[in-house]
Amino acid sequence: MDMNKKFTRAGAVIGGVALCGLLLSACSGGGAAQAADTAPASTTASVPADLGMPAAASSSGSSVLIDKYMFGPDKLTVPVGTTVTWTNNDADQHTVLAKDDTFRSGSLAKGQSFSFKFDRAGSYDYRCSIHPFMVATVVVTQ
Amino acid sequence: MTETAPGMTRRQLLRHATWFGAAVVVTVAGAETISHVLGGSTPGAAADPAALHIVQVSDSHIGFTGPANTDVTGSFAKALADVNKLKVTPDFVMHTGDLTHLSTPAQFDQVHQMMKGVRAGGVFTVPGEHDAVDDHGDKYRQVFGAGTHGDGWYSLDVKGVHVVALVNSLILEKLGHLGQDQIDWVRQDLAGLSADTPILVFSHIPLFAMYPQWGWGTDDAMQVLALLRRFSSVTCLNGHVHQLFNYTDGRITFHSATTTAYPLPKPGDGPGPTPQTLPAGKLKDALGIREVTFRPGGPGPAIADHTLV
Repeated sequence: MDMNKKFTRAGAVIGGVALCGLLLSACSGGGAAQAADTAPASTTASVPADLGMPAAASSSGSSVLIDKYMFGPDKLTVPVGTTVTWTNNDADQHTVLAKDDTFRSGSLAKGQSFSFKFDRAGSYDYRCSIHPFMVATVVVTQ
Repeated sequence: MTETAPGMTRRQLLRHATWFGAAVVVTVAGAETISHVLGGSTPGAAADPAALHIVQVSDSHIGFTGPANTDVTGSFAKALADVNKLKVTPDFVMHTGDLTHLSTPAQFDQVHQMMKGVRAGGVFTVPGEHDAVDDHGDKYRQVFGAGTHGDGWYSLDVKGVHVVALVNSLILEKLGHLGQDQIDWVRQDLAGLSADTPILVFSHIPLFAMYPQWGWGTDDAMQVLALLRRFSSVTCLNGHVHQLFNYTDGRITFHSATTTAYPLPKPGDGPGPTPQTLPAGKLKDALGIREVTFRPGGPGPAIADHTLV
């Protein structure tokens, strides 16, 4: 059994401590891994204020700086067709991962960047997969 | 030495326990208070071969680079050396996740090689989100997933204690998540057990709502906790939060462990759970290992957290 193999690999011999009773439960079940949530990007919940003040309301430009474990700005509004670039300024590594998997970067070391072109309007929530508490949004307008 | 005084509130305990700057921190589980220094042994454990003696290590983050700990490999090696100094050889050592920082094959291999040097009856792991940053845990399972179910969960029975190792870190959402397949498996796993069987549950992310704003909780844990409530003694041990924290919900007790890598802030202290750089010389006092001892017929496990020697 694989668990016993682990014990062997650990190379431990415990005098008088019998581990023979240490068995995997005989339970069956436990299906295959579920696919990640693949819900489409939300295009709902457009805030009225955003309609009146496009783009400049929360940010301008097409760059996001990853600094001190935060995405800045945490809400970036850009017109459709914009290429957004994320750049990591932390010593620690980060990633950029869309909630709906529309875009995903590899690990970004300090100074490294990741870019993605937004061809469809919508609101894209994303996070750092290494630090899931780091969350932000790109809003793409028509 | 830091000791938990009877009647201490959870907030006092939290303040007491975080940044535990002494050689030993004592926590209370069940009705027992155990205190000892590293190199000693839990009273009675050595004389009682029926006692279950285990060690929890957590959050080694092999591959982390940053000022909060410029040598996480050295710190993890020190923690494992401390395990090997314990007078009672543990029945097993459990690493509760974030073995690596970035889930690279080289980092998994390094952790695997390092843990081979642990003197224990066995070595077990559960994955953290840092062990699944880009592949839902595939690389983790290639090294550590043998003999497990589903995404890497499993259970085992040792010296009368039923041990359940859960996976709640392979998520795209902020909070931990178990998923229906795993919850269904737990239901079957627990079904045949009598209510007086001591239950020990491991997970990376807390199964209680320690601080959901920072993702320190599991969104569907209540379904598993509901299955655990019929048991007279349930102990849930987790990592992820890099600090000691205790919580009790009925007959279920929760104990967050510290890390071997770098401290994180107390819940809500600052903008987010980011690595904390301590003054020179203070880091080792924030890192540690945990001993857990179940004695047959005891009220629950005795838990002792040690800073690195």
